[in-house]
Amino acid sequence: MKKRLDQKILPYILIAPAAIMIAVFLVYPMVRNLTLSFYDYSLAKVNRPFVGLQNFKTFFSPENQQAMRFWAAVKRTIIWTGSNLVVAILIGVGAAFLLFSNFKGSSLLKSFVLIPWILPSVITGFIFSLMMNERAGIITWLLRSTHLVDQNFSFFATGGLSMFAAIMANVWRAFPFFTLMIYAKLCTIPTDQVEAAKLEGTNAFQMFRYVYLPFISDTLSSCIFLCFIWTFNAYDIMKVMTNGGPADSTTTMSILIQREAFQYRSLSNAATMSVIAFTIMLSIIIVTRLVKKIIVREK
Amino acid sequence: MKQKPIHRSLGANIFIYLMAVILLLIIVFPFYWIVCTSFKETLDIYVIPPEMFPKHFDLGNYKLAFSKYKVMSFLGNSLKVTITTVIATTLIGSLAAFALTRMDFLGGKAFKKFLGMTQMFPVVVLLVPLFIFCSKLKMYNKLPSLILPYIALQLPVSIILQSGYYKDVPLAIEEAAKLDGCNTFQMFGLVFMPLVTPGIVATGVYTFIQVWQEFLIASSLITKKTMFTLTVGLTTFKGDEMNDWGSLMATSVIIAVPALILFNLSQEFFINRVAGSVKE
Repeated sequence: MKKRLDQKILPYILIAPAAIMIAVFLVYPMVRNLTLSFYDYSLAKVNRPFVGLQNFKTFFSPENQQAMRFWAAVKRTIIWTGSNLVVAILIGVGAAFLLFSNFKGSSLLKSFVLIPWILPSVITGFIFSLMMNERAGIITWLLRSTHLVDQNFSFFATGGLSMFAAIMANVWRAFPFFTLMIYAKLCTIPTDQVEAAKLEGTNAFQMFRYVYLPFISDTLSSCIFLCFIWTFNAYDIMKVMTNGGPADSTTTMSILIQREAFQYRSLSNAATMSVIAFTIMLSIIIVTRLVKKIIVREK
Repeated sequence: MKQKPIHRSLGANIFIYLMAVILLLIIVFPFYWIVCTSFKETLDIYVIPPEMFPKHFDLGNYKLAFSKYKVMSFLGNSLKVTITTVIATTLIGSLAAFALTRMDFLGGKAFKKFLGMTQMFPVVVLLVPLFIFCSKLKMYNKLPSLILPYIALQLPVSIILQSGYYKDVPLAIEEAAKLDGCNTFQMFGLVFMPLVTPGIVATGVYTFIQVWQEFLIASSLITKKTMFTLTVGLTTFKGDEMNDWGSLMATSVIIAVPALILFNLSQEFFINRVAGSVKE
């Protein structure tokens, strides 16, 4: 009898350390962040009154300066995430098919392909800053000397180009993830399926559209899901390359929230913004899931 | 998984090799440029057109990184934080993974599902509460203020990855051990440990790479320069007006090399396991 009781408690003892750590340093902060957004919180003041939805009202009143800055950052975050995903998927999936075509040397290429993913993202930010630097950048020099751009061209002069530069750096970092996941999946495709399609005389495009694409679609959507979360919350590369500039034109939500909290020390505002940001992210995920379900059902 | 060689037209072959070379260049060049710049003297970095190879292997940047920018102290902090986090995460995660895969208990499935869900928590949401928490516990500007959240953040993935290895141990081995009179602790230590050690080590490497490069929490919760980790330390490499690129790249090499070596040692794991766990 005693032994059976032990057996019943044992699994809970084993998961307890993990559960406690996650509860204290992950779940509690999440909840605390939500409650903070209902208070006028400041480290310096002893009095921290409950203000209800007041903090949220600030961000939903159209003429408010802070609200305008925040929603501009939301817009930029969506542009940033969308462009990153599209380019990373195109290059990532393309590279996966390239590896899958099994040429001589493909295994060598495969062993290099994860380097960008392993290289710390801060370093990625710095090396792309250097390569696109106005004076010393090799990419800037290449574009200038081929006269694709004029001689005083600089990536970091305008918001659009700065955003483009940061997207390039981030895509470089993100695409290998797609490549390896899709490649791993492609390697498990049943050969008879491919052979049958070939016997029917399908061309390369049809092959991709009707044989390979349905086969990889589940893996692809899991990868998109993960990459969406990473990119939406990305901080390091943008911080290092543009620090939100010039003139706030590349300030995404992570940058704005971090600055609000640790430069201006307005903790309630930062908490409120991060609650709204998280809600936006979740709604995008939920809506896309619903749309996907409806499409699948209609098929 | 080996495919038969496919016969392709010459045009297709040229296209494939051309794309392969371009891809290889895109992947390798930025990394090469870090190493190359780290050996250049400051003035040579600004030479136009850029020099593709350093004229001589000048170690000045590396020396400067240690003497002027105090990389040794950043390195020490990073090592302390990362090694503590990796050991704690892997051990705690291992216990949980064993329970979740080898024991049937109420709430186990829900816990597993919850672990997957935590991957959606953005770090930026945790920053303000962690900051308040740390200043209340007088941990602000101390390394535990990084280690504790890191462990919590890394645990879910560590448990999910390790579960895969525990699951792979055949039930027959477990039953045989039970018949021989093994209790649960002996089972864990004598039967499972030897079988899953490679997986546990590989999971540890994954955690190492993640923690080694963490920047957002480290740059928010630590403001004292002597407590900076390597990635935060990189942001202090400012010359008069612009970055001191030479020393910055030298330090980047120092940061990147351990991650790349560890990764190379466990390459197979990354490709097979991480791919496997994404599918689930």
